[in-house]
Amino acid sequence: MVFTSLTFLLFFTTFFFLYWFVFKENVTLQNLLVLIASYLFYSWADWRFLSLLICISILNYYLGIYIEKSTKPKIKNLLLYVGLIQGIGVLAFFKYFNFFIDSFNEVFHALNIHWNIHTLNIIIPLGISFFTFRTISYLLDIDKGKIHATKDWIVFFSYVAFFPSLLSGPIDKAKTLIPQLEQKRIFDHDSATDGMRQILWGLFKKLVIADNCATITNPIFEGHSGLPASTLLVGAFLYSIQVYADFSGYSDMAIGFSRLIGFNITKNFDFPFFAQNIAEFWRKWHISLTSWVTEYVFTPLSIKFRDYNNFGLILAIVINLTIVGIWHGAKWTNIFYGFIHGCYFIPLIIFGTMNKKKRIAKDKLLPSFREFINVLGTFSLVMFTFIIFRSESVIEAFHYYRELFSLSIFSVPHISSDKYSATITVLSIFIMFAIEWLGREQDHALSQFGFKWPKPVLWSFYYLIVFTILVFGSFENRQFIYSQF
Amino acid sequence: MVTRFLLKILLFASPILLFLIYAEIGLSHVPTSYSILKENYYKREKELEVVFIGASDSQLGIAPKFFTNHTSYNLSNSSQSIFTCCRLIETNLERLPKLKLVVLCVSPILIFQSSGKGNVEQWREKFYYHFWNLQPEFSEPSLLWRFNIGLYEPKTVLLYGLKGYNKLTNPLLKNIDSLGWERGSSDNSTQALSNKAAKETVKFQLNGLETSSNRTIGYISELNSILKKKNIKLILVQLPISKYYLEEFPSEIVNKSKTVIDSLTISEHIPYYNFRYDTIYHDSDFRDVTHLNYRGAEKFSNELNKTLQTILD
Repeated sequence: MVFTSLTFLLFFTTFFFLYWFVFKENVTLQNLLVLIASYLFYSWADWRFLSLLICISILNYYLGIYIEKSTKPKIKNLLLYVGLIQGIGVLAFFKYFNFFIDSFNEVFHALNIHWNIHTLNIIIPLGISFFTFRTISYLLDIDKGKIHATKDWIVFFSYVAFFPSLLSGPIDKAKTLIPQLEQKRIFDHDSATDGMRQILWGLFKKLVIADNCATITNPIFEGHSGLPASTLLVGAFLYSIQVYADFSGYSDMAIGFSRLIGFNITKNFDFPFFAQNIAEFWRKWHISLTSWVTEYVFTPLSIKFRDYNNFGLILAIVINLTIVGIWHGAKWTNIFYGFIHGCYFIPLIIFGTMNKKKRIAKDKLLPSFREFINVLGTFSLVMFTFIIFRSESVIEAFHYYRELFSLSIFSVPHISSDKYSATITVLSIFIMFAIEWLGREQDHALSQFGFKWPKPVLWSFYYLIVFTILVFGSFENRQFIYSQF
Repeated sequence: MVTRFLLKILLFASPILLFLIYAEIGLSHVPTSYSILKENYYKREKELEVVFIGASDSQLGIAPKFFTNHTSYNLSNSSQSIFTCCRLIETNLERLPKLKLVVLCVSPILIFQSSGKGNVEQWREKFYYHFWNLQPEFSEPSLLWRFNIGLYEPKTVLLYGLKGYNKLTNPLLKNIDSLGWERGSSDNSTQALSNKAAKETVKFQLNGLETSSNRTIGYISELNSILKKKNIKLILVQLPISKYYLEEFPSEIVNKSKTVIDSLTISEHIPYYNFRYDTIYHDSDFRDVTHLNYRGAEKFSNELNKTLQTILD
């Protein structure tokens, strides 16, 4: 059940009515409804792993309670390790087992040892990377005394399976979502209206930008051999836009739907393509994952490596971002994707500009030339890594890079899509960036956009977006890129 | 508060909802080959003894009106896959009390038709789901397909809403007779009969073909065993095709499909009649490189009629 389907519209409308009209007075019943809806939503995508989701919830629920209860540090640690091994173990088995086996086989072959360990036919449960990270953060926060273990199983189970963000995030930490589940929700008209605007913007980004970009980028990445470098550059550029529009579009919708039912979940994107350096980019891109990894991986690592000064910091960041890469899936391409990003930080650390925060074009309409160059440079670096992120293998990515750096960069690009669609896609991208630029200081692009206009004009603008989605939206490729992670 | 919010949303959405209702009603009056074939078929289902089914070659090439001794119907349609053909028969079997024979028209293209991504005809699945309630072979059915507005691209729905939905009607649909035969648009046209046209057609058809035929052969075997239980015969037929197409079509695929069909007919005891290389058909019998015209269809239907008599009598 994807957010862009009619089934989801009916599902959510029914849920909304029950939630606000039938169970309005009772927070436990509301939570129970959230839980049932979440399980239904998950089963709709793939019912086979619902039992896994429930088992993980049961185990972590009791582990949380006993970690908090136990007074002996040894038992506390033991229980925490059980939880961590379970979380990481589930991820390792479903997502990484075959990758390790394949890698071992390749190493053995290279050493001329002919052991052929067989891989397993494993289906990766949907949303596994998202819900396991939720349970891990829950246990770690209890262990550190940052939060109390919840005794209400409905609250905890709803937290693990919270449907708006179950399949593709944002990854909410327990301290963000559990307190909201525990308290009575009051319908906030303004927040809900803004949620609707955010959903509309998410739909525009997904259906008009991302899915139309996909029709151009898929043929380029699937058959790039022999294509001129200019086409490959267009492919890399549009793919970068596609990933952003697809994932941030999904996050916008997830946040919007959550706001409609009275929840404020973690912001996931903060206009990352306006970042002036890589460090800023990672503060704005997939925020919920980077803040998770920063809190539970980077901070402990940087403390451990603090005696090594800049070298320690570089090491901590490279490990941190390599983990971010691996999180996307068991492929060498993802590992390299994270590793390269880690390496991008090295000059920033050496020159001490990593933590420099300077708002772009503050109180101005346009950025300065220097800011513009910084943005362009950061985007180029990110685009470079999206080639490896999109490629099936590292070798394929290297072929792409090799073909990209050739004299045919000056030729006219060949786009398989018709000129009309390509023009519409480029124009839509321009409009998206223009609106996002104007709304860059807000929570999301449409948050305050056009608020000074007369209401009929503002509503006409919203109708125009709906019209654009219906006429120019691509309704064929409905999967979200990040739902595979 | 919630009610105020909902009223606001309703107010905003009402022009869109009204348009969607208008579009749904408008589109429900637009005839399609699927709706016409289904409507006429349901009118005759109680008396049908023979059903022909296949893709566009049999849709244009078999005219049930020339089968005088047995009531028959042509349920073929453009690019109708073996999967769809088999499922259409299976799911409607209970409604056909007099059915004695199913004639499944096959070709190398249908036998090796690609699955999933490579199949450019995948969009037709939503029409079969909508009109015949057939579960799709490749895609996940959407609730939207239950509605007429879900059958077309949103921009088509929107733009034709302004032009008038009647403009969406395919003018060729008037050529489908009450027995399911689509009479060739120009009876004796020899247009598009050339090696160049054949080359283009073959190139288009070969795009994304699979190397294995296990999937399609499995569907035919399944249909055969279901029909057997009901004492209904199944025969396979290959229709005549123009010499230009025969010259351009890769012989290795023809040989492969021959091997596959031969082994199927032997193991499943399904009679097979191959008219592909019949030399009595000339350029004047074809509408284009792959389809018979009116004259060719009449000639072939009479020929096929003789064959069927021997099976049915």
